Order: sequence, then structure tokens, then C-alpha cells
Amino acid sequence: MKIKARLKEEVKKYLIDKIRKEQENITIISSQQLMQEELDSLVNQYSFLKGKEITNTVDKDILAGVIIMQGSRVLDLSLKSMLKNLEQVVYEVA
Amino acid sequence: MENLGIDIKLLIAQVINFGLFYFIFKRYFSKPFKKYLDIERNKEMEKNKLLKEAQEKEQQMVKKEEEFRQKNKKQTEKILEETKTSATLIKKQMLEEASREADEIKQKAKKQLEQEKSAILQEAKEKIAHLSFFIVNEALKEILTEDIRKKITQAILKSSYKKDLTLNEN
Repeated sequence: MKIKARLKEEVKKYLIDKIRKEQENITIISSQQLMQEELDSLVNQYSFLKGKEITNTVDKDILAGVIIMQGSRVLDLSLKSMLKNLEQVVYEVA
Repeated sequence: MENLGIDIKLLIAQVINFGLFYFIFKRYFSKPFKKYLDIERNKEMEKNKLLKEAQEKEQQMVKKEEEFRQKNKKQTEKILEETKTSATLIKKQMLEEASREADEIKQKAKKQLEQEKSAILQEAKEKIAHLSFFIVNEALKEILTEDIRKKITQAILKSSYKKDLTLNEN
């Protein structure tokens, strides 16, 4: 089946917009609500957070620390991921 | 002569009678009789000759039979010996093959056992690691208060600032 050029162009535009929006929005998952100072500190430390719309969501399952998500990219600084790494180490060493 | 009791006439008649008898016998009976006797003699001789030949043949047959029996016996013994040797060889080969197969089965079983052992060990390691993680995770969920969580988060962030971290593709 041949896709119409116009439709193809619109889908392409839609996907580019979606990616741009995802790039603009950053989600920070933490075990408890972060204070504004903490968020500012994060923004100051990580340049990729500057000028982006940040949303803070709470997930107690990560135990402690934060997970920064931008689209499909992730920076995992949670205690749960550390424990997962430790699990891998235990598995390899044991 | 008459005083002696001999009748000349009778004597002459007997002589003539004998002469006639001899003539008739020689003329008509002697040759066929002789011929018959010759034929019978020849037949007897032929019979004896055939009997002798038959006896010789019988002896030859007996001799041949004995030779054949001896030959047959030797051949049978030879075949028996060959069969025995062959059977011994086959037995040896079968034993060797069985031994080899047993070794192979043993090796295979050993290898399989080692593989299973390794798999069990791997699984145990995985389970230990997973269980350790699960226990610690569940314990921390119970133990960590809001305050401690906050302190840990701060500590993690503080330590992360020292590193040059960036976002990674999920």
C-alpha cells in the first residue's frame, strides 16, 4: 500500500512535535515530594535540566533518591537501582 | 569159451551196441554237452570276474568313503576351529564395543551431571541474589521513614554531583 505524501508529512510533523515536547518535559521521580530548593539544586547541577518544564512525581517504591526521565532517556539515582546493582554483584561474586 | 560162461554172440552184440552208442553219443550229444559245459564254465568265470571287480569296487568305495570321512572330519574340525576363533574375535569385539559404549554413557552422564550441577548452582545463586534483594528491599520499605528517605536522597544527590552524569537511553 502506498502512503500519501501529505499523510506521511503530517505523521512526521506529529512525531517531531511529540519528541520536542518530550524533550521539553522532564519528570523527576522521588520517594517523597522534593522541596523547591532541592529542585533548584538539581537544575543547577545538571545543565540538561535548565529551561525545561519539570514535573515531580512520588513513587515510594524507589525507596530513596531520584529518577530523572526525559522522553526515553533516564538517569537513575534511586536506592532501588543501587540495590539492583548490588544484587547483580552478589550474583556474580557468589 | 562157452565153458567159461561167455557167449561170443552176446559179446559181439554188446561190442556193436557199445560202438553204436559211442558213435551216436559222439555224433549227437557230445558237442552240445561240451558246448553247454563251456558256456557254463565261461559264465562261471565271468561271474567270478564280475564278483572280483565288484569286490574291488567295494573296497575302493570303502577306501574312498574312509578318505571322504577323514576329509570331512578334517574340514569339520577346521570349520569348528575357524568358528571358534571367529566367535572369540566377535566376543572380544563385542566386549570392547560394550566397554566403549559404557565409557561413553558414563562420560555423558558425568557431563550431564556437571551441567545440571552448574545449572542448579546458577539457579541457586540467582535465587540467593534475588532473595537478598527482596529481603533488603522489603526491610528498607518498612524501616525507612520520611526523614531517613530524605537524608538518603540528599546524600545520593550530593554524591552524584561529584560525578559527571548524563541521561541514558532506557
